[in-house]
Amino acid sequence: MSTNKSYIHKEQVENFQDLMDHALCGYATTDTQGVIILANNKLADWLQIPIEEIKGRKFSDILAVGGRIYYETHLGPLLRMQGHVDEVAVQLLAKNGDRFPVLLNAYERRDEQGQPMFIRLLIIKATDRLKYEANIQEEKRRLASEILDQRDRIKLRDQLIAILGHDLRNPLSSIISGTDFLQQSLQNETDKLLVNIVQRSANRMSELINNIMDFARTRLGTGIVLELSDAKLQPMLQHIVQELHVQFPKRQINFQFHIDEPVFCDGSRICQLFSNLLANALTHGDASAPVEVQAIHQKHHFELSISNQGTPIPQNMIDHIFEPFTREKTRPSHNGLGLGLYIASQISHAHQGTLICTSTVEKTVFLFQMDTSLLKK
Amino acid sequence: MDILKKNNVVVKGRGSRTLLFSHGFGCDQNMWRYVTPAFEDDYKIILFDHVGAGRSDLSAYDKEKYSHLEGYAEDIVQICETLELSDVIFVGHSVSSMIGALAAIAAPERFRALIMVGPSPCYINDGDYNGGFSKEEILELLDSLDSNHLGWSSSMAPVIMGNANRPELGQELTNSFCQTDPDIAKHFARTTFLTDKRDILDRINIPTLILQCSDDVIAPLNVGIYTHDKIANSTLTIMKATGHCPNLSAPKETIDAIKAFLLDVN
Repeated sequence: MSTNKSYIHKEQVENFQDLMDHALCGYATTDTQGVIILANNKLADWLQIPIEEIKGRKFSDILAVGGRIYYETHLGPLLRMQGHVDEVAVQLLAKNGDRFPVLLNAYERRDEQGQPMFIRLLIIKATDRLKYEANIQEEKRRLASEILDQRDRIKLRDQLIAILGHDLRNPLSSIISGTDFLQQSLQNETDKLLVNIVQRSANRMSELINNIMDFARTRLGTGIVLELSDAKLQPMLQHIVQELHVQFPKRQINFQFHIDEPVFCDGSRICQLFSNLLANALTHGDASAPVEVQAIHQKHHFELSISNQGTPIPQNMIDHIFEPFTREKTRPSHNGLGLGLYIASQISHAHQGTLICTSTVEKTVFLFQMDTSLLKK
Repeated sequence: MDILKKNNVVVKGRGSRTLLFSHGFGCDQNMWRYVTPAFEDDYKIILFDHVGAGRSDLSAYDKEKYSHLEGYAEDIVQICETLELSDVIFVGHSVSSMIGALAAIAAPERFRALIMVGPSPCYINDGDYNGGFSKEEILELLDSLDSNHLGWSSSMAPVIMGNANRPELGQELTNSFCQTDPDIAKHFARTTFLTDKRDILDRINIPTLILQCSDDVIAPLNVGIYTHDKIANSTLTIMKATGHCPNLSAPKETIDAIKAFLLDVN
């Protein structure tokens, strides 16, 4: 070339032949049988073979063996059937035996009658992409094993909670029976008052431990196990109302029970459910308004509703209200751990019942319903 | 499980004799689309997808069962039983040639003839036998499939992302033909390319047509000749067509060769 080459270049018009020859990607065209009839410089560079030697070879022949088999059994058929393939990962086989990862796009050029004329292939370097893919896969494997580790750790924690709860129960029951004994033997009113405080605190601790153990049981998969019998629910529920009235002496609880027949269920669990819901209503409801309780039993249908007045619960909170450790941020919850409603819902679930919460400006209602005929005798 | 659903069996055509078409590795029943119309007037045509391919029931994929070609052959016999077929002329492409041979050996009463398109009883070289690939090459293929260095980005993408809530990431690139689950494709490749069925060839005693392409890297000419030598009642037709899939690249030549053979069989 002459010295005024740059001048000539300025004059030259961009043309497709030059674009093909000096493209950043490989181009090849094969006949309908897959024999290469055209190839560009880039492909020749990657293969380390002169263009003239590439022509006449089968396209699958310039691929590493995996790609060769894949091309013959899958890509070739696809090109014939759907006319194109996109972004296929294969490896070129260079003259020195090196594997060169590429992505392949190809389409079958057809004539006006739809008959195949030749196949055009675009070959893009994919070395870095392969690294990204390998990195992503590696990261995915790492995360998967981390999640498994975490699960093991959570399970261990739940087991610890269960064991801790269980082990705390024995010393606590000694305290409770000790205070019961003292309550009867003590004469001094001040001492009696003190013991009464200890007694109430111990009972409160006992409730918390039971909740924790129920939580651990549901987490460890055993769930809440029911002891089903024909329970005389009415006096049991009345007793709960009395108990909570002692705890909330200033509050008014209006109750209506229509339970003539025994109810087939786990009576003490239903009482626990009721106690949790009633305590919840007393804690969060408007202190100046009464809490309304209604229980109805008709044939197989049992229904228990607890409603209070006060600021309505927003819907986004209702959606999660039965999840464990959901507590109101502004006020301390009666159950301390935010497990009361969770356990109530688990008890409902164990009875194949439904427990729903609705909240409006007028009132907030927790409604438990079950069909006792669903429970196996 | 309903075998006809499991294998996405399609029945068409108007005839009393039956042609049962079986696709090979990497494809599905669509690969017969340019061939079957030529037989629909005279034959009952049965098409299906091997379990794991096309629109078969992927949940029926049993790694144990399908780690042998016998597992695939069982399905074919079961399809014949369910449709109460006899005198079946089995047309198998690639690895399905050997699957058909196994089915014919297992249930000889069902089959009248075999047509093998690009058959190979063994892809790996072994002493004097030249299967077309060294053991190392086949292991490289299986390794490429294992490490995902080979294949569809579309099958790759959902595997990487595992993103059930964004299926469009996977669907966008998916092909309408020859769909295959990447895990199943890997396993089928293993079953196919590590197979050695040379020992069953002399147990085939029904008329057999071998359609051999002139330049097939998967099943080279000498493999076709070997297969022809070992199957007593066989005809070898060497086609002008090149490649591994004459049913797609040269449907007319394929149809003519099959028709010529059927004249003899009938």
